Amino acid sequence: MNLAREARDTQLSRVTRRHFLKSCGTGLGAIAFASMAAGTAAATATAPPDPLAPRPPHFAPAARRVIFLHMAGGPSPLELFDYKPTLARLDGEKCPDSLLEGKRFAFIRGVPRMLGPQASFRQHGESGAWVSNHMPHLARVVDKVAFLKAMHTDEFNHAPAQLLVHSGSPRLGRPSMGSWVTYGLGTENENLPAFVVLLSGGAAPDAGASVYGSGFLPTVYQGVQCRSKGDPVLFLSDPDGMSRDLRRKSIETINAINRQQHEEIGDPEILTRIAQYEMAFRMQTSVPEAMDIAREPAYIHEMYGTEPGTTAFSNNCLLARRLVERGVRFVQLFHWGWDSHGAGESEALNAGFVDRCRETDQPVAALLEDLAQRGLLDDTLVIWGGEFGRTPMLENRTGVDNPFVGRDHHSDVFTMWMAGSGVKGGISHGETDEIGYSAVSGRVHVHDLQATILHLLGFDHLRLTFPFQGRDYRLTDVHGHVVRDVLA
Amino acid sequence: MKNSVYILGAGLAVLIIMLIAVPGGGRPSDFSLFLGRFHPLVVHLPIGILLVAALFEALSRWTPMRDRIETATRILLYAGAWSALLAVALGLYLAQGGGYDSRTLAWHKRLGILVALSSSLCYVYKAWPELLQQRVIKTREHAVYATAVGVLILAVAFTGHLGGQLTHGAGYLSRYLPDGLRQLAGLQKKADLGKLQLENPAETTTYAAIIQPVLTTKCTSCHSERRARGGLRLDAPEHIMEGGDEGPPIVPGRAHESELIHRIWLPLVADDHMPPEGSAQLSVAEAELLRWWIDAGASFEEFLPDAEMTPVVQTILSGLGLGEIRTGIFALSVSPPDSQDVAALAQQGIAATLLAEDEPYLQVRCTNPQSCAHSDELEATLRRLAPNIAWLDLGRSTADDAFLETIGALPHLTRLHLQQTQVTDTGLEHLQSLEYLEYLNLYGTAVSDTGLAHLHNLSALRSLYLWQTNVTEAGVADLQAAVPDLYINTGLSLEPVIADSLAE
Repeated sequence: MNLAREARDTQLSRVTRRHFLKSCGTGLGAIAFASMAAGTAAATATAPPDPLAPRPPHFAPAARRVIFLHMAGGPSPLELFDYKPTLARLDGEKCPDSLLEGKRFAFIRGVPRMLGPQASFRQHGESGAWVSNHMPHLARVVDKVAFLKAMHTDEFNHAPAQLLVHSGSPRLGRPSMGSWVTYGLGTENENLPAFVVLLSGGAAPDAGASVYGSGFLPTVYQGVQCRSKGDPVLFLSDPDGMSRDLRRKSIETINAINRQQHEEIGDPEILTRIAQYEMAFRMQTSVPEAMDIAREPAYIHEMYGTEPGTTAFSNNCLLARRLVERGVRFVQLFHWGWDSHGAGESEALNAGFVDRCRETDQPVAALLEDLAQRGLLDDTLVIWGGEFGRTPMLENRTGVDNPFVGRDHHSDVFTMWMAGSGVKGGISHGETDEIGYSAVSGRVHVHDLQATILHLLGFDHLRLTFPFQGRDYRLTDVHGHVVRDVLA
Repeated sequence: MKNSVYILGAGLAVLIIMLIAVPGGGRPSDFSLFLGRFHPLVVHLPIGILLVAALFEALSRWTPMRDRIETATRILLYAGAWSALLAVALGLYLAQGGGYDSRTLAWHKRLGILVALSSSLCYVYKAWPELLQQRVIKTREHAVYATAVGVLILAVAFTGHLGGQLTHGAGYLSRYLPDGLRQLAGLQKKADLGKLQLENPAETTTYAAIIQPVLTTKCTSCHSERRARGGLRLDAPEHIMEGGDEGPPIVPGRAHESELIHRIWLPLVADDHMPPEGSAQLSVAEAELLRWWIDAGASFEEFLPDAEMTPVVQTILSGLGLGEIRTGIFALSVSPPDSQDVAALAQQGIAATLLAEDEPYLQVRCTNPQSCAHSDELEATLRRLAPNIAWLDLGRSTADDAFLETIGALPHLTRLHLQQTQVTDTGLEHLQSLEYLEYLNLYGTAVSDTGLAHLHNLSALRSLYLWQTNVTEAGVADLQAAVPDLYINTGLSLEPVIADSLAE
């Protein structure tokens, strides 16, 4: 009981004569007001508001949940979806100056040579979408997908570009999309985090945990990283020698103290802390159940190509489905290693890139198909993409002949796709020029994509705001137009 | 004085000849249009003069200056009759230019002629009373004269009003009438002026809702059955597509090649500009709506909600009160849910959240699988909230057939999740009444073809999930035939991976 005594002492030392006068003065007024404003006001005033309570969006939504598959590093559209036969003809030619004027690249210096597509393409599905031989599984579900082929961004380095995609700003400190969505909608499952992040082993995103952080929003809205190997959530299990009963009692006591503190100070972060303790306690039983993919039948494992107990992206795809099935609002998956510069085997279009495709192709297609057969694709939105595109020019940083080829970062054009509720299936929005260097039509900025995602969730992106440092902030900052052409 | 009557008679005769001779159709000569433009100038003379004449006539009953006033009245009547004659003649020329509402114009014309005739008659009574006494009116000539003056005043007033309507448009006078008086007069509220009042916007074609009204107010006074200027009629789809003497006015999908659009955008003073200068012009918004409609293919069948809006068109339509076209349950008027009932549901383990801030509908779901056991209390709460429940998610819960009876009483349900529950074919019978149901998830239940048969008249249903159920291909095909627009998912159906790919 030391803790309780300590809290009491702290409180006593804080309650000064000034507090007494203030409490009495405003307190009497408050009592008078409460008696005038009938019983309801008093009833709501007793319990602090639950920051994760479900809330309605601005208008009737098409989607209730989001799975965002982020391919960190910037996958090359020219080897996946943006078929450019002309570029194949120009393979090895020197890049004309006109394409280089006024452009900055992360690594390319001087005059590079063009690099033809390192893949073969075929049209698939009723929509006749072009998909390369690297994504044979996805090719079977293209009729569910809306490609955005003329995406563009402001940044050509990983960390700022990833921040821009996820938080709407290339600088640190803004809330991520999942946080905004959770802030706007609350949670549908109080036993699981509303916003779950699944990393896939390998490298963490260059921008670090900020790509799923809550920025200036209360931290209760930040992404909770779950692991597919070992303890799903770190520090969740009871310490040795502590029973669940004792755990419950101690959390109740701590929260009672915290509530007192909140009444005193009113800091919303205290509510966050209360919510986190309670959630952590409930998660002790709900998370292991939700995260245990070993419970899935064999045909599902075969479908996703999963192996329980590893940290593969495929496991995370299966987990993502299990989580949205249980009402998790926003599932953020990160895959890594798409930065195909060609400087070494692991990051070459003709080596590592192909492995990245193999790791993700089957589980992503399986995820779409599995969501569809469970009827979840009618209220879940799936988004796939990296943080920028890649140049149609060969990047050869060292200038030495090597067996590996790659492309540099390219912010002007890249492909992302959306699938699921409220999105037209089997369409391609936006076109690039003959070599995939610039957009010809249907350009979509990262902020436009964000506005569209929020729109599908029922939000006017202009109205989903949070006051901070004297102004209302929003995910799309001062930009963003909903891409109506992809809306069903 | 008899001479003046003869001359006036001659003037009347000329007017009657003009009435017969001035052609209605065809292109009027520049000179007649030139003359016509003097109508608004001249038309104010008879109004003023004849009203003063009537006033003097009334005064002459009481004043001692009766004789002198009598003379003035006669002179005023003479001048008034002549100016009325002239105004009618010029009006005939002005009308040739077209662009006026034909009904209003016809009445304006008739009453104008009545003014000319009745003022002439009054003058004859003053100037040559014997003529009338001998030949026309045998008795009570004074009463006849008084009636003629009364008719004259009324005719002047109504002709003037109609003339004002032709020039300034209908509703000019009442535009700023206070709302209370508007209601008495059966007029729209001031705030609703200019808004389209559609019975059911969701099932109105774009043409009928926003294109036809533009053509009717701005074009059909000259281009309809009554009077097809240039052989062109714009009063019905078949006539619009058929076109007039100069071919079809519309090239679907190509507004910039359409004569209709071309003429609207010609300079106002160009000969071919439409509507002709002097008549009510299309507003910029109306012109943009026409352009948009033609560019989108000039469909006469497409419904308003299916039309692909540009941001500009959306802005225009929201100004017309069609900003948001609501369909399905959102077109209904339902009061917001009772917050105590919502709280009662939460007590029973069922969470209900509003679908959106300003909608009366709820999305309702089980907070944990055990919480959705059917009970009388739960049923009573759900029935009280029945009109408000739009989405109901009982997936993975203990819900069973007993629950489905309650669900059948939720008239506005659009999405229903029953996957992995104990529901069976028998329970599905209760869903037949759900006319708005769009989404039904039955995967992982014991449902079979017998149950599907209950869904055949759910015409709004668009997605149905039947993976891991006992349905057969035949049962699914039957349902598909009954509800052609329904997407039915019976589970994984992937083609094998194409061999040429991963092997490389």
